[in-house]
Amino acid sequence: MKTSTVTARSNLQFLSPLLESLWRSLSLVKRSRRGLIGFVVLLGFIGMAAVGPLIIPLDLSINLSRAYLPMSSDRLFGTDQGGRDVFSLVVYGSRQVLLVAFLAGFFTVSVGVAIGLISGLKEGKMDDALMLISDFALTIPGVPLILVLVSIIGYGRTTNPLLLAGILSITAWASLARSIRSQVLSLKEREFVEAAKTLGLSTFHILFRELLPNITYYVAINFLYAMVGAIYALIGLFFLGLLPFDVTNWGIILYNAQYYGVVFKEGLLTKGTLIGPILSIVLLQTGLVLFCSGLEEIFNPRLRTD
Amino acid sequence: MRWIVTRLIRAVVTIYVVISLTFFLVRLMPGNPIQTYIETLVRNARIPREKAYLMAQDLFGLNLDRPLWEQYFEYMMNVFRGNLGTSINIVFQTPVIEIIARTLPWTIFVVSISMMISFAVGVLLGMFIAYRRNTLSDHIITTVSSILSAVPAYVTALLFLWILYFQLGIGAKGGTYNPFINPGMTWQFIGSVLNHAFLPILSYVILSFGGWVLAMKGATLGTLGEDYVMAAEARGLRRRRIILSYVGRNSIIPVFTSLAINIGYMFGGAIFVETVFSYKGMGYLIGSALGMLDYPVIQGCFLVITVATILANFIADLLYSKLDPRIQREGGT
Repeated sequence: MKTSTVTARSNLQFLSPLLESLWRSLSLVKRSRRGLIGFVVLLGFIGMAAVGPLIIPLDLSINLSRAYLPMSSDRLFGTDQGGRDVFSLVVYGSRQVLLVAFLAGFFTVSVGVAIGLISGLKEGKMDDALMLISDFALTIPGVPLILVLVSIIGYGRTTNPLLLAGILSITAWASLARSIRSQVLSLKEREFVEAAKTLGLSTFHILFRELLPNITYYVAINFLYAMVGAIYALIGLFFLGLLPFDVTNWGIILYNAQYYGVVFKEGLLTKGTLIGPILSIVLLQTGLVLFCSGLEEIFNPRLRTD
Repeated sequence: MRWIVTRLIRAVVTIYVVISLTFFLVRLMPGNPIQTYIETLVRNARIPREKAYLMAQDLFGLNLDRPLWEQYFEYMMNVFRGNLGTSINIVFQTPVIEIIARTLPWTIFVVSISMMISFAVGVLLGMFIAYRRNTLSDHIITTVSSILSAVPAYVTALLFLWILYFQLGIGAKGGTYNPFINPGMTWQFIGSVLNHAFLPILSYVILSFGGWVLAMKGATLGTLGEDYVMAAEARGLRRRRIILSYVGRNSIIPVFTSLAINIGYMFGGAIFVETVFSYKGMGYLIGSALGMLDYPVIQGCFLVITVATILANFIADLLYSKLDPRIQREGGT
């Protein structure tokens, strides 16, 4: 009876050092200018996705007399071929991009960490089998596989964020699993883990109290990089026209810009349908990458400025 | 020797699994493409169901009446004979393998040149900034590299199409060479080929060199802390020799391995880049096949890309063991 309450409490407790180290990482971001810029950009996008659709009206009705109005202070990115305001499309589209990317990052990291930990802790047949599978996932080219899978499973049908995120992370977990495994293998030999083992602490304790806090920063970075990869592939799927036609999607706006030859229109201000999504994609990816390299700078002793 | 055999077996098994995967994907997935194709023929082309059924068998190179394992076996045999089915495009009815043979060389041409350029540029820049750590040039190059490596292929390609091709008139768009020039070993033809390949190559280089810069910077920083570098400095060897033979050669090894994995990534980028520039290589082929749901072509291209990546990985492994003898001694699993 007594032991069960203790385990129940430690079950919940393992979260607190994780949250603590996450909070510490965030407050450390101040130490890297690059990381801080990335963080602010990311917050901006999250704010835009959360609040934007509540403030900015979305009018999807087609009005050809207003097609391709130039960019101006009223309409930041002008209008598209159907006379719809591109800025509002971009704002509404940010929700799906962020949601799917977040889910894909979450899946990639969960699978990668789980397999890496199991593989590193249980050497032998289990380890061999898991590493064989991850080797396989590493050699198959990711983007082509994603395209093939979507063309078969979800062609023109699905925008289900869970399914999309699942497909997008189909091979991405493998490299993370490998590096988590090698980190666990080296951490296992360290004194503090040996000490915990000698004290007779459970595998559970060693896993969540001794090992995980040591790799939190690494997991966070991989989470962000997984988001970068997912955004690339997701918008690419729409850009190739593999997913349902949804005018608010950044990839669809680009697809239309390409299809209607907006590139070849005279003048800079006529290219709103091109500039709008491109600017958003580049800014979002830049934000993620800068935040990542900021975290790396802070936590990777080899790159740290002393 | 044993090490090479293990690697070879692994490559062969992976290829076998990928071929099986393509079979089961098309055959057993929820949106079964064969069934979809038959339905489309019946509905849109008003072809009787029986006939549509036979046509589908022909296209996918399958006998749908036989038991699954027999179909599987036959599919395997077909793939090894180089029979990848026929394109869904009813007018031409071209065998998939022929279409791939026509388009793949262009993609390999463009991708391999780009990889060499971006690898060379990236490795040099990466070493350069590792030596100038925390200077202004390091900060600028590192930031630019990490941003560039995160910008999607279609964005870069669209920007080049707009700014370089449309505004400045650099390069060419559409096809792999000017169709009014007779193919042959003439300067005019070679010039046309290079002119058409220029923008795709530039896109790939911009897309991938940032990754090399960062990888090489990390590897060099690691090597710089090694004892043998310090020993070489203490021995008073010339700086040039230390940089090239001691630091450079040791740092480039881990970066070199990712070259093979990068091939798969480049093929992925090729789908977007070639689609934007209408460069008629295999990436463009996949892009348009995806648009028409030409499954035999999609399946065949995926198979070729994956096998190419696996073989490249195998070759890289062999080279790697030559470059770094430690790998073989450790038993290399």
